Amino acid sequence: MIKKNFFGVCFLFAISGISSVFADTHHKTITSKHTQELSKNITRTTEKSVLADPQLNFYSAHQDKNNYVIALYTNRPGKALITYDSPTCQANSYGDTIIDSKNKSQIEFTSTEDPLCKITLKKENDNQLKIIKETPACTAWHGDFCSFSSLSPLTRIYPH
Amino acid sequence: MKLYPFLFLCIAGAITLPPSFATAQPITMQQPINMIAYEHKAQHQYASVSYMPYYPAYGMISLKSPDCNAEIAGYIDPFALKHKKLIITYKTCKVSFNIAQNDQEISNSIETTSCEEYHPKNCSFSQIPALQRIPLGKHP
Repeated sequence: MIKKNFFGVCFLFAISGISSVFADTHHKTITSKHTQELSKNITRTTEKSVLADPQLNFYSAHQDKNNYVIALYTNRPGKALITYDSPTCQANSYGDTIIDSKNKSQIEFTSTEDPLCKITLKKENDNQLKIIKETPACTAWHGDFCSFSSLSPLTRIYPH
Repeated sequence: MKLYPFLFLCIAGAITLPPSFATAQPITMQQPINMIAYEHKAQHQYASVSYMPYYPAYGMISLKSPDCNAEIAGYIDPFALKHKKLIITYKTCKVSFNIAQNDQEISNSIETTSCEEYHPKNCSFSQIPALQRIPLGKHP
């Protein structure tokens, strides 16, 4: 009787063990398939992002004898150039931009020469760029006679 | 009486002058942009170089492909520009290009060894193909 029960218990353990092994294998198969699909998707996404890579955007504003040009990527973080030409000041700069995670239309430029100088830009209507604010440190860079804050919206000149 | 030959010469001269002298050129309010840019677009590669031709001048280089994502920005050598060489310098890294085809193309990119710090090992700014100028025009 005891022997029969012992064999019975062993049989049950064996079955449960086999089923759990199968279950594990099945789970692993699903996971590996999922991982493969995920990696494929990542590759595809990367390829797509390269194919549809946004071009470098150029924005320009012209007011009287003052000229401003900004070159940057608006859809991804990256390097950027700002040139500011006026009779009273010549202020050119280069730096890095980041896209605001909460508001994708806002871009923050940080000057490489003076990281305390930050300029916040806002993309409007897909072809305009407005400078919302700049930190006081930027005054040291462009002087008192010109300020980006007083600038009219810049119009995209490339891509058309 | 003696003025007639002089007047005749003036009238004859005005008639025979080339049109460029005869008609006044329209005065444009547009001003050149302090930015020059070049790019190369292919299915799996995008590269661009843009710079300011006037001092203090800066420039930036961007190279993007499935295996490589590299960017650098730095100073422009104004003296090299006069000799049709575009050199962008960031710290000790220098990337140079030849300006050719009447300023419509930059090619033969060469980078110094210290630039390796700014891009993955499997790519280099020296791999940038010939870039064509972007027509930025003038300020609207």
